[in-house]
Amino acid sequence: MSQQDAVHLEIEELDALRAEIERRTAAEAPRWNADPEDVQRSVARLLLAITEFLRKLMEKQAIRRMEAGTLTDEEVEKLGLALMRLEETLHEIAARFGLAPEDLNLDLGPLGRLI
Amino acid sequence: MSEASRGNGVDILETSDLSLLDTVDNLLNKGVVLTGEVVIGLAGIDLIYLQLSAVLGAADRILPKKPTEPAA
Amino acid sequence: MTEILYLYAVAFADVELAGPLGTGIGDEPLVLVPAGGLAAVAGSLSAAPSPDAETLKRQDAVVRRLAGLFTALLPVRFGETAADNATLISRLAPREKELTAALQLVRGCVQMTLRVFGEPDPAPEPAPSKAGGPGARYLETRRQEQEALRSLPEIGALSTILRPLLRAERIERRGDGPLLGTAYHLVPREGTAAYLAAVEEARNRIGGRRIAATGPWPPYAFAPEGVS
Repeated sequence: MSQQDAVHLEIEELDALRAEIERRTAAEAPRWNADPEDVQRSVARLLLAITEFLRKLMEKQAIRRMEAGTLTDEEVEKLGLALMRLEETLHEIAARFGLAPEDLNLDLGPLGRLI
Repeated sequence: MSEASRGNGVDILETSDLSLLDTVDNLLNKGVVLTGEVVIGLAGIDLIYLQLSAVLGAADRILPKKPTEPAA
Repeated sequence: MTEILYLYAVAFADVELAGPLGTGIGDEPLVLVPAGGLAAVAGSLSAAPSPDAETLKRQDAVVRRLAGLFTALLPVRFGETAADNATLISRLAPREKELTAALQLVRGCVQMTLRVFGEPDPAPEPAPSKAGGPGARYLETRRQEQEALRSLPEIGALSTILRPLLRAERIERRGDGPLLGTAYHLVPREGTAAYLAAVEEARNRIGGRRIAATGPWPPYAFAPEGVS
């Protein structure tokens, strides 16, 4: 197999491509370390991030099954409400620890990227 | 709290070679993933290695079908 | 020193190879590790390799060579290891169904990667919600958001021309410039010339946006998602 480049890219295009690839690249074995200065907040963040990760996973699955037609209307409504309320609750708890929703997007390496 | 550290991949991204960038993208961001792992530590010391490979999967593809429950 | 199994690709177990497996990135002999209907191509290394440019290129070269030996092959991500055959099999077995489906999809095909640069179209109005409670509307909104991230309407004219040439498509939308998004295209092996010709033909019909096509590659982007 041979390779072909079809066009010469501008500097900013290459930069943007580089940034995007880097953004999506998983860390080798991502490390999460509790901040010894604020272990409570640190651990809260990890727990909330893991819960948010699972919530996103469940949401993705729910949407998949909704698209596949393997859920009844009632199941769709129940799942949607539960996911919506779970997201609100997580954000509320996070706020109490001074955490924004973005702080719950923990880098879980390849697993995180797969969402 | 310290950020999760990036792998060595960052160094090779300092390139203008589109083909190399695509190689990085293909090999580091794509392909079959069989392992999912996180290392959890305290005070800079690694304590727990979590391996999440093949533990997560779609319930409706892995679990046997439940008989539908009668309406309450 | 204990060696680990370094993983390169997944294929069907029951195949006739077009040649010997050869060696991996450490010049180690490659072997097939069967796991049900599947088999992993692996080599024994003393440690997981580091992702420097040379090593990545070398692994891509190994995977390309393997892709020439099997009719259907799924590349494994760089850096995947297993302690031993038993561990490898325990990780592959639960995924046999989805890996089999992915192998059937990529059979006889290669990947072309299309990068799209330029401005996004204005965001479309969200589709009016159908009858349904708040839960259903929430899921529907999220579904539309997810779908938007998998589409590049900006290259519609190009997509129309390419569609008959593709077995499958995976899109990763960035949504803002300069990189608008990437389309990974699964193209039958003999179809790459027609693909590139179509890209050239439609290059000036996508509203001033620019595109860069690379390939052919082994089908890295068509591995099944890790969590399905």
